[in-house]
Amino acid sequence: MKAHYPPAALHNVTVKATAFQKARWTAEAKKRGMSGPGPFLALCADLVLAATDAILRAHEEHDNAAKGARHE
Amino acid sequence: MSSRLKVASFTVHADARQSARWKQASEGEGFSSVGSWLSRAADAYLKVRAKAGLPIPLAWSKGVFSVQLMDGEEIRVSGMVSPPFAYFRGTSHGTDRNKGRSLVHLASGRIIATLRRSAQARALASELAPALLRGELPDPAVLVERSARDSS
Repeated sequence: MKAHYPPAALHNVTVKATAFQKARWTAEAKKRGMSGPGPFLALCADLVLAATDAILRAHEEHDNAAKGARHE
Repeated sequence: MSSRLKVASFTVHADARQSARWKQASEGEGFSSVGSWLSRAADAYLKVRAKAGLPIPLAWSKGVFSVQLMDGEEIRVSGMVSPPFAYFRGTSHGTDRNKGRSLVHLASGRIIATLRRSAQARALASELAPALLRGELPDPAVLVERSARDSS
């Protein structure tokens, strides 16, 4: 198992990319001291999901606050 | 005759929780596979970083490149390269091991700035890279042309 994956990373996902995408991701991985484009993609996926979750939570809190204000 | 886009394949490892979340997200967003969603996520992340205007850490390696000097002469120098930038020891007058580092735009060979240290040249390139990605920097070739016209 390459570095920068969690020890329990047993699932494999095949990713197809253009030569440009792969070169770009490999360069980005290198800048972060990662072993290749795979760990970089895993990091990006987790960051995108974390950002999406944060946005949805903020929306929910905003909606709840607005509902509370209407009931008062 | 049909021209197919050449693609490379590689594997991303995931633990059970990641795998489940990625699968859920890719299905939710209508992607045909988790792989294509991962590809989109990586590109989206890089786009957001570039838009945010944060300095982008660049990877540098040794190389030889052309530089246009102040008198119009073009010389080949060795230095450090991270496309679209490079830097070498010297100034717009030529190479000089004792006179700082000049940051160069590779495509035009134009010297962007001369700085005291390598770290400063690298930092400036990192700061310029996001603007370059956003297409906010003027085309250096135009500047070189204009500068040559003004000085003649």
